[in-house]
Amino acid sequence: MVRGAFGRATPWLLLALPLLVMFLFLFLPYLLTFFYSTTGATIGRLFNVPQVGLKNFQTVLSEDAPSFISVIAITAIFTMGTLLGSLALGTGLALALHTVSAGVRSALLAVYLIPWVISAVIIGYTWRLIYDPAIGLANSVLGMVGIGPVDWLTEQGIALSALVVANVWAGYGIVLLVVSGALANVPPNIILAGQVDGASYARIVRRVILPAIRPTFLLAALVALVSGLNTFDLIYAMTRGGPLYHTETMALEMYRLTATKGNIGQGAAVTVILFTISLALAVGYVLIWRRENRKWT
Amino acid sequence: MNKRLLALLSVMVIVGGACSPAATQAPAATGGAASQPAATTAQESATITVWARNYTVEEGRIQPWAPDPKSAFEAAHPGVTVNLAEGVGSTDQFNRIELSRAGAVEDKPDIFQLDNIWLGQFVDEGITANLDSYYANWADKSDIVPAYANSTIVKGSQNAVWFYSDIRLMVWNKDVFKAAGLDPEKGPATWDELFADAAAIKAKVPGVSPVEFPASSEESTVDRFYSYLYMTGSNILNADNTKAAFNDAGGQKALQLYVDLVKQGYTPKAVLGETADDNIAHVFSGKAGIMLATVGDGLGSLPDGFDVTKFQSTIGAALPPLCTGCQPASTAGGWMLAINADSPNKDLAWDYITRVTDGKNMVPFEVDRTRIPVRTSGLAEADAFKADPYFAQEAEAAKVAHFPPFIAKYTDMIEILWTGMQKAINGDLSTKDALDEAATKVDTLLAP
Repeated sequence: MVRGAFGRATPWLLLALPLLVMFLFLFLPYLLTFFYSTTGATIGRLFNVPQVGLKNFQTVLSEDAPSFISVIAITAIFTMGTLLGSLALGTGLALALHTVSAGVRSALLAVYLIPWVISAVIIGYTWRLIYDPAIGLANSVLGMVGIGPVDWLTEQGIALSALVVANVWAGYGIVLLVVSGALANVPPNIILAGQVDGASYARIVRRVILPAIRPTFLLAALVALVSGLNTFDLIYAMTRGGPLYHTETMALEMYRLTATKGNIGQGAAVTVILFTISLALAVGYVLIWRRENRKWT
Repeated sequence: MNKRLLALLSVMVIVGGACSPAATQAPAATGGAASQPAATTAQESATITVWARNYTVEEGRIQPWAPDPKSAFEAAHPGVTVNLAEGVGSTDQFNRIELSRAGAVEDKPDIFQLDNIWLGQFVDEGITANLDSYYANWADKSDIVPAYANSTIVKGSQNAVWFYSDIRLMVWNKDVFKAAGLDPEKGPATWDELFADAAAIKAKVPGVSPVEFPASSEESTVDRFYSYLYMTGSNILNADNTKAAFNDAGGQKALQLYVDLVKQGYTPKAVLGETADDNIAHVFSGKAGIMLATVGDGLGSLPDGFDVTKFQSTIGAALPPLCTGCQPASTAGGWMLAINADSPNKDLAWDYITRVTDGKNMVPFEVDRTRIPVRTSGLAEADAFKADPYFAQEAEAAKVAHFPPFIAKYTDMIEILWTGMQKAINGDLSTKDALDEAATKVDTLLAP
């Protein structure tokens, strides 16, 4: 009986330490963030702060420089661009690597994963140099083919696209890794069956491989989505959200309000909004994941 | 249960990612700077903790803090030691001082270095100790150049001691000037000459930006603009610092200079994403011809491969060029030292500050970093500054230098101003509309 009780308690005993760590480093910061979002806390006043209710949310939502709608729109465009770009590049490379021998695949996989392991700040500054209108590689290459210099990080549309390209380069590695792992588990006989039936490789990919790795693909998509949503360091290194807030995402807005302006309350309010969006995405993911899981089990 | 647990963990990991930047990044960048506890209460065995900027405590370079002032101070006060804590960058310095005041970090400085533009805010927040009684009995106070000594008075009291200053000069690349057929030893003295030189560079030196200035979303954008604003007779705020003044005719004229340079293709629109550091790097590398204003003559930010001789043969420096009917003007910035209002060792801190800021002690550091002395005794050391080829120009600029207003909401105000400038430079609004819009916001910000 004692053994039975101990047996039932074992999972919780094993989970106790991780749960404690999660409480300290996840839930407690969440609670503090929620608390600060309803206060007039500043960087110089973190204790005995006045309660302001929802005023911080009102201020953030009604701000006109930048407008919160534009911050949301920029975040959505940047996130979707990162998602689609990472999925396309990561999956494309994984499929290409799937066609070569295991030895070559391992070597190339290590090379392709290099950007993913480099600090985003370093990647940001590297791409900033690449886009430098005076001394950058991008304009030098354009100049070689007779195209005039482009202000990569100044014009809103171009700047946002330039950031997406840099972020895709920084983040496609996780998609490549996840999809490569899934491809290794696709039964060779179903691919062989397709080949026997005379299907082209493109058709096999579309009709056989991609459906077979769909749950994993969904996970890769979610990781890329959340990665895009939360990107801060790379954008900060490249544009700091400027000029004229043209590349200001929610993560940058959080930082600007919190660290640059020292308004902890308003920064926390933006955090809570981003938290809510991420929570909605997470719940959506779990629902889809459960549906897909039921289909495949 | 497994599925539920997995789902729960997924949600926590995903949402955790969402919260991490705001919840942890900003404070993490600022904490942990000092390595020693704050001073104790007993003066006989006290530690004076100093929070300084990174380059003033850089190993292998001349420091104003040590060895002489530190050893002399410690010899004069047996049992008292000076703890020069890790130096940090400008933003981190601001944040760690604020966080220390908020009680969010355990370390507390006795002495801290502050940018002149923070003084108003720090006084307002009660971070700086009132130094009136120390100034009253300080023989050396008359050695401080009066304009500087007066600038540390906020709300009628002395709150800081000037450490060193810097001044804004226009710089140009002599190689670019030669390639454009211009006299490399003579920079533009007027706006008309500026446009003429820019036209020559544009015509004869392809691939080079004729003129650059910072216009990105950060402080150097407004700092490098002020000299042009001041020379028109305009100002940033009115006399009692309660309303914007930068949107008058002079302010519009100054901003129109920037707009015209971009419109006429002499300055790339990419400056909207560039800081002053980017500009000066372009001038040093010959990718830009003229930078409208930089700190000193640029000697303090020499890139690898440059020594003073190469610097002098490559870079020219002079006062910012003048518009018709304008008066010579420059902008002074710089750093001060203050005593923490909570320090239990104010007398000791004051003694150390007076030793460090002594005119003669500061000169080697100021020469090394091309900073401007704030002491008459330092300025008298002309021979020492011969190592700086453009010290004469800097001294000339110091005579016509203006300070930005030391107000509590300065950092909020300049964000409004640079956003207005960007709108005009980007062509979104006319200079008048952009500055009027910014002025309205500044007036609201400064309203009691």
